[in-house]
Amino acid sequence: MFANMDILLDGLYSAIKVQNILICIIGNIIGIIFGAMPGLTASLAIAVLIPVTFGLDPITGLLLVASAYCGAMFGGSISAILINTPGTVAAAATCLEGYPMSQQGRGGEALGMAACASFGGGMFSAFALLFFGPPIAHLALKFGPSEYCALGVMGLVIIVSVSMDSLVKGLISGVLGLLIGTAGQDPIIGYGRFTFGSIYLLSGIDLLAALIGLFSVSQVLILAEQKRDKILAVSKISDKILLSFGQIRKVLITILRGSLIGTFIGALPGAGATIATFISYDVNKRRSKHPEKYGKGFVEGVAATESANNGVTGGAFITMLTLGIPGNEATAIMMGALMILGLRPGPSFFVQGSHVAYGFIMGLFVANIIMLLLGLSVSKYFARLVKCPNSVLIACIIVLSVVGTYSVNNNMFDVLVMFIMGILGYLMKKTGFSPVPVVLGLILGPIIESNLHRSLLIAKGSWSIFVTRPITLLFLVVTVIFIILPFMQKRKAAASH
Amino acid sequence: MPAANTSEQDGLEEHSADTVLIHMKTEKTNILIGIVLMALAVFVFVASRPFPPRSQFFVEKLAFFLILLTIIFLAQACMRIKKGRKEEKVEDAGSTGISYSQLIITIVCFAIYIGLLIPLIGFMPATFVTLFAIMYILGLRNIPLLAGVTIFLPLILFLVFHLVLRVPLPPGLLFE
Repeated sequence: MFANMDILLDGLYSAIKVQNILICIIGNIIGIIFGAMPGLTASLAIAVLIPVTFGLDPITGLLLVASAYCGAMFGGSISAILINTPGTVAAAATCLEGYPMSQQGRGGEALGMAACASFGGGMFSAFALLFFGPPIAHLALKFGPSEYCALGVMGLVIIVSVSMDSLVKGLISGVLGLLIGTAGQDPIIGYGRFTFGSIYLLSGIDLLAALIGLFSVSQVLILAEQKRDKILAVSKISDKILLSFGQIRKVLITILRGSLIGTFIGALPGAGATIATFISYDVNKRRSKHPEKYGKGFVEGVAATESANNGVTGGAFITMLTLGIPGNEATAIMMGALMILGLRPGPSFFVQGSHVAYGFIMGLFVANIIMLLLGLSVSKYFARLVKCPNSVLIACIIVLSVVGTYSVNNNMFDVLVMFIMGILGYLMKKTGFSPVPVVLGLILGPIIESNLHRSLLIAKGSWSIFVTRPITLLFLVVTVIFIILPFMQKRKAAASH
Repeated sequence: MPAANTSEQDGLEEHSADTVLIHMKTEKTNILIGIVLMALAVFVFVASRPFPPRSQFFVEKLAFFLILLTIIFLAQACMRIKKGRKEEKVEDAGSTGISYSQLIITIVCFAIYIGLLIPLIGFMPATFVTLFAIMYILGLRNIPLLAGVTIFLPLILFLVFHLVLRVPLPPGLLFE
């Protein structure tokens, strides 16, 4: 569990070499750009950089892709905050608080907090990887299909309870997302569902197309319906980026909670950063001294989501390095880089490849520090984007959305999906339904369905597997609590009035 | 800075203080939404009948769940009508007023851009035309900004996506 001091120092020495610091800077810059641009994902950033690692030293090569990953996870928050378009899927939760802050002229503050919280999450998860990697990995191994199914259901219900006051409307949105996610080949036997004879629908509704449509295009339509060209009623954009010590102290607990949630959920293969960010948002909202401020541009909300977002990075590396299991798309691509560099992640990685392993982990600390410095440097300039007239923003977002969506599969059908989802998202917002649970339903639907079937197969058709496995039962109990809690809170509020 | 404006009543959604959304919420709209959702749920249930059992299982459960939720949703709406609650119209303090004509123009321009222009003339020419058209129609008259965005945004996208990343941009019949 704990490396001896010589190996740690050797790793630190490798990490702070000039070439590795430079490579972290380059990786972060590329990652931030990819993360900020809707349609250019963290995975694409890593994939683009893989060939560059061929000629590099193993630690240097790994740090390049890891820096890009960290940078991209922060970069997604830039467009989420400024134009309500998450640059990465995981940044969707940051829209909830970041965009309202941007509308209030506090976009710089939101970006500054995103940088600090991302730094906190990244550093925490790097510590977790260094000291607790193997134990966390062994706990993650205890998760079977029933646990994943229950986690997915719990995640969806938690997110629903976060997204809006009306639980029924939130659940309807979530179920709609799950239903939309059933289009295409089912994950069990590959039967084409709701394809209506279209070959394009065989692979289902593209997640990124739906995400960009529901968030970005719907926001464009909301901007378009405004009569005045200025979106802000404020006369001044705040240039404040750097947070005061007092502000940081207030959100420290939030960042720690988010980092812990992100690290743990990141360690679960297939769980994804999105679920971590929304769970962190909800947990921190419930534990906050000012829960009523959430949803109205509360900087604590940005801290909650971004710390979890970057906490996932270290968590994902835990399972990748200790078990040889990629936790998500990004780490799957990184494993390709590891193998190209002649390294074999797995239980023996920390023994046979200790020089590289600890050099990489110590380098993660350096990468996160550089990400913080870069993030704070660019935030001020990005924040001024909100001064753009509506007409410019609308036109640019439309074009960027089309390019971003098309670039995923080179398919105009995805662009059509984006357009339709955009109109759906607009109608949902106008009628009081949140599109957030729809996105989560799309993401979690395949996880829930495939693991539900696997669980029932293992249990020979018996549903008792969901109550006899302790972790599964815990998740389901939490789910029921989150369903009942809003009603109890409303009754309590009504009684006190 | 616009004053915070939050209200929390049954069936009334929350919204950010400084957005310029205008929420119009009537119980009749809710009833209509409920009917649409019920029709969707029934359609999903019926359409899933031919699926093999393993494919049908999850979809069927979701359809049932949606039916149940819609019944609860409609019941809540009917109860509010029965209690005689008035239609609620909440206008955000920062609202600038709604222009549905602008909205429809934007949707039409967007549809023409992706449905006609790009397939016909390709991404670059279509984007030049669309950027200019949308900004101009929505009221931008600052010529340098209009020209700058129209010219530079497509060029930057071409440079980054096509030349640097080798990611293809949508081709058209007339121009690749």
